[in-house]
This record gives sequence, structure tokens and C-alpha cells, in this order.
Amino acid sequence: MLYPVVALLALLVAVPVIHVVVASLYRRNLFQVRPPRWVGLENYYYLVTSAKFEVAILRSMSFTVTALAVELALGIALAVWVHRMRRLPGMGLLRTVLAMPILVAPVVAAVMWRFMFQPDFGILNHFITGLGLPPVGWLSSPSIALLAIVLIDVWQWTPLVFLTVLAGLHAIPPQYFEAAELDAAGPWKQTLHVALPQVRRVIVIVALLRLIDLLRAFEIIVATTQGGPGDASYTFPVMIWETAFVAFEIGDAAAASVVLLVLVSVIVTLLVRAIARQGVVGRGQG
Amino acid sequence: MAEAAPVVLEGVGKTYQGADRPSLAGVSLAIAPGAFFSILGPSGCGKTTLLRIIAGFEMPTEGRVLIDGRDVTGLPPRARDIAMVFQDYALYPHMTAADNITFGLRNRRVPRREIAVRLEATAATLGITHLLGKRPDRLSGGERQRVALGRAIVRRPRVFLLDEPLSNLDLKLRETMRIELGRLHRELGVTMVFVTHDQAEAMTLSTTLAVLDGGRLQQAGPPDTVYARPANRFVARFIGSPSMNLLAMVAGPDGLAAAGAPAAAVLAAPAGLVPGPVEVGIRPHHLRPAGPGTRGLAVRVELVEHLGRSNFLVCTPVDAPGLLAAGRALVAEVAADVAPEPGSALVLDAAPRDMALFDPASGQAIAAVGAAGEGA
Repeated sequence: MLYPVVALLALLVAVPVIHVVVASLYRRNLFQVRPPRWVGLENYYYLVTSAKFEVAILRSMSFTVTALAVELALGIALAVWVHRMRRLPGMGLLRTVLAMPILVAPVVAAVMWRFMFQPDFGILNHFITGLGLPPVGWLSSPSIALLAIVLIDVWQWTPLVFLTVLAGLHAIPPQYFEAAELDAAGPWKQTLHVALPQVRRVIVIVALLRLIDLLRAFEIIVATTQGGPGDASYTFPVMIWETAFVAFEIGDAAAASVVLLVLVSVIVTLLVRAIARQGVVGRGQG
Repeated sequence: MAEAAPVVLEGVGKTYQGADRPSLAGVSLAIAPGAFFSILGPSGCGKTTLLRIIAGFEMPTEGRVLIDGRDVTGLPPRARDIAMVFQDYALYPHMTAADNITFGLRNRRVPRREIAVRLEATAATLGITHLLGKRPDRLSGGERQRVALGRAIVRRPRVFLLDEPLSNLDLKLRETMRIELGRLHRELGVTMVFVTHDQAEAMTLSTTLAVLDGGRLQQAGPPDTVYARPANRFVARFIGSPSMNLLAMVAGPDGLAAAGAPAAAVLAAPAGLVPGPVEVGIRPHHLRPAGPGTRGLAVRVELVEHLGRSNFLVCTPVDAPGLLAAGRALVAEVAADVAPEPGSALVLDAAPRDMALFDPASGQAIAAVGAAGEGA
């Protein structure tokens, strides 16, 4: 009974991966009528020695680390705050409102933000110039563009961290907080010594999910800056997209995809191992 | 060790928002300093709510709570000088036993040297010195229980609240911890308020027992008084296992006759009983087989349950259809060598001094008889 399912899953996962690996070994340009030419590992060599490879790695890293840090910090803080205020009326509504950005399609979110980022009539600059400050080139300034994209991702995905952690907090039996109350622990100590340790696993899981997603993040960048200005937001997935659909170099794009797949797998595997060693995932704990 | 403090509840009531019935109504209690006070009742009777009101986790919607003569009704739990042991212990999972025990002291900025001294003394009292470095997930149920007790003891509270602390332990361990709790109470001399649904715990440990049902206090008093002189029908049925037999009878000039059967009197009546209908409560072990031909309750034995030390005889009355409530059987506890065949006839007798008498209409004890009735 299990084998057909396993076979189907293997097929669904393996076929595209094999296809990409095979494609990465050929030189193939969609603009040229020539048939694909076997080049072996040449595409990989070309990729890792190119200047854009280094840029893409750097941009992906700074984008991922910044967005992950902000989303975790903000999501956890919001969850702790909403959990502490859970008895107040209107908290259910607040939770729903805070969760809404997840429901927006990433491209739609990006387009929406692009309007808000618009230098001349965008709402953000309206407020900034209203304060007497010079207008900000949100997506046109090389030093700000990547941060502006981080802001979009934070807006869209902090709610995931928030909701997950909040669910974890709600699952803590109230006696723990009551015991801490009797132990004269104030709100800060209750958060630090009761709430957070008990949602440690949840935080780790949601951080992993966000990490994987951020390493692959692509829609919002393509829908806003397409990697620019210059190479300011030229992340790894953007590089793949550009190689495949702007330059139409399918072989190079496939090689980059394989490299990204391997990188993500290695990072995630190492993290999961490191975390499992600390007993956060895997082995149960009373 | 801190002085034990009395706890007084004055007309405490609690109605949750949106509930059509109060969870607690008009509970007034005086818990003497140093008492081991058990609150006993079936699930949903309000006993845990009552404990949480004493602790300050719930606010009563009416009435007052006084600890050591001070009105603490509006005070938060931490300001009440109480400690509580929770049903599932609620130990902080990421802290060692030692850190669990001293967390409250550290938060209260007790000097570090004193914390060390108190921790050592507490651990020694509970015999957990060797466990102090372990985290809760490395401890057995009984060990966790001791750490949870330690966390409460180390604070030297004046009132100690325990919410069914033994209910998560297996039977053997439960007996050990029961003895342990009794010893702790004697050694610490603090006021302990103990919530349980286990009669054996309540009976053996308490100096005072309060029985709660439907959010109302049914009776409070020393365990033997509650057992021997239940204040009403509920307490009579609830305390004791198997529970007290309640017989609908009519008091006449020559004794008690079964209600609805205008036959001759079958049991001797307690002195001073007013003639008329009365509900007679008799504990199973107070029912004795009478010799043939003598006066008594004629019954047919339906079932004999052997318990080793004694036998339970489950019987139905003969020719007295109104004697028992529908669906009830008469249970007698007799010596192990008394084992009549199922189906055989038997006559049971009971002494008037072993009878608890209730008003059939109100279900309340008739206080005129014998011992001093402990009013609810």
C-alpha cells in the first residue's frame, strides 16, 4: 500500500531534479536554433569563477540573515505581547489582522509595496517629505533597495512567525505562568524563563522554514527591482532567473539551480543536525 | 520556619462570566493555623476554584478572603505569602531541580548565601539532595513531586496550597507520598489546604475536612465527625466506600418500619426520635446479620464480594419496595467467614447509635439525635 505513494513522490521529486542536473551539463541557449551541446562541468566552472556568482552569494546572505533576524525578533515579540494581552477584548481581531499579509500573493504584495515605495507620489515618501526630510529612493538607491525588499518580506512573513509562536505560547499550560507568578517573576522574567524556553522548538522550526524560504526568495525581488539597482539586490535566485529568462542560457541557469539546491540542502542539514544534538527536534522531552 | 497563618473565607462566591449558575456560592470557612485542611468533592464541585481563589488566581465575585486576619481579596498571588503545589507540578523544564526550587527566592532577591542554606535544608527534608542537578525530564514522577514540594517549602510560606498533588502518581507512590505529606505537615507546622477527590487521602491526612458539592459547602469538620455524622444526604453518600445505605423508614412507637410497607417495626429507633417519616443512614459495616427469627431487615443476598479481610453482601430488601431508592441495593460489610449463598434469605440488624438520621424532605441531618451535629 505504501509503495505506490513512495514511487509517486520519488517520481515527482526525482524527475525534475534529474532533468535539471542533466540540463546543467549541456550548453543550450533558447535564442539559438543549435541543438544542446554537451559541455560536462563547464557550466559549473563558468558559474563559480564568474563575478556575479560571488555577488549573488553575498546578496542572498545579507538578504536572508537580515530578513530572518527581523522576522524572528518581530514575530516573537508580537506573539509574546499578544499572548500576554490575551484576556483583553479585541485580541482575536488583532490576531486576524496581523495574520493577513500571509494571504496576499507575493507578487501582489511586491506590486503594492512598489506603489508605496514610489519616490514621487508613494505614500512612504509622502510622510517622509511631510516631516521635512528629503525623499528616499526606496528601490532606486543601491544602499536602500535590498533593505526595502527585506521590509516587504518582513511585512509578508513576520505573521507566520507570529502565528506559529503564538500557537506555541497558547499551548503552554497556564500553571507554568501561575507558578512563576507565585515565584514573583515579573512579565519579563515570565517571558524569559517560562514562555520562551517552552516554545524553543516552535521557534527553531519556524526559523528553519523561513530560512529555506528566504534562500529561495524570488518573486518580490523580480517584481520590484529585478536585482538592481546595479547589483544591489542581485540574489542567487534572481541570478538564476536572469540567466534563464533574460539571457536564455538554460545550461548555466540549470547549473546555478543545482548549486543552490546543494547549498540549501547542506545548510539545512547542518542546522537540523546541530539542533537535534541539543534535543530541540527529534528526541522528546517531558 | 514562619508561623502558620489562619485562612478565613467569608461568603465566597464565584460566577463565571456568561455562566447561568455560580461555580461557588456562599462558602464560609475558617481554616485554623497549622491545620491540614482538605477540600473534598466530586469533579466540578468547585474545589479547585476555591483553592485558586485562596491563591489569588481567581477573583471571587462575592465575599472576602482573609489570610492571617488581613483581607487579601484584591491582592495578587505573589503578595499573599502562600505557596502552591500544582496538580502536574509545573516545574520549569529547562531549569535544574535546584534552579526550580530557588527561582522564587532569586526573584525575591534573597541573599545568595541564604538561598544556598535554604536549598540545602529543603533538599535534605525531602531527600532530594542527589537530584538537585537534574532537569525535570530526568526525574521520575515521585521525584518531580518532591521537587515541586521543595519549590513550595523553600519559600517558607505561611499557607501551603496543594491542588490534587498526588493524583498523577501511581498507587504505590501515592501511599508513600501521602505519608510524606503528613510528615511534612507535622515538621513544618504550616497551614495546608489540600484539594482532592480521593477520600482516603482526605480522611487520613486532614485535621479538618470540607465537603463541597455544586459549589456549596456541604459540611466541614474533623474527618471522623464528617464520617460518622454526615450533615446531609450528599455527604452521607459521598463519604465512605461502599457508601452509606440510606433507608426510607417511618418512626413509630415501637421502632422503625420500612416506608410504604405498613408492617411491624423492624429496627430499634434512636431515643428521642419524633414519630413520622425519616431517612435512616447506616454504614455497611454497621449492618450485622441477626439470628433467625429475630427482628430486623429481611433481605435476599444477591451477590457476595470477597475482599479477603471482609465480605460485601449486596442485598435487596424483601417485601419492602419503598425502602431503597430505585436502582440501589443494600450493602452490608460482614466478616470474611460470613458468606451466605446468593439467593438466600438473611436478616440484618443495626444498633440505633450507628444510625445517621435525615429529614426525607430536605435531606438534612436531624440533629436532635446523639452526637453534636456539625452544621454546614
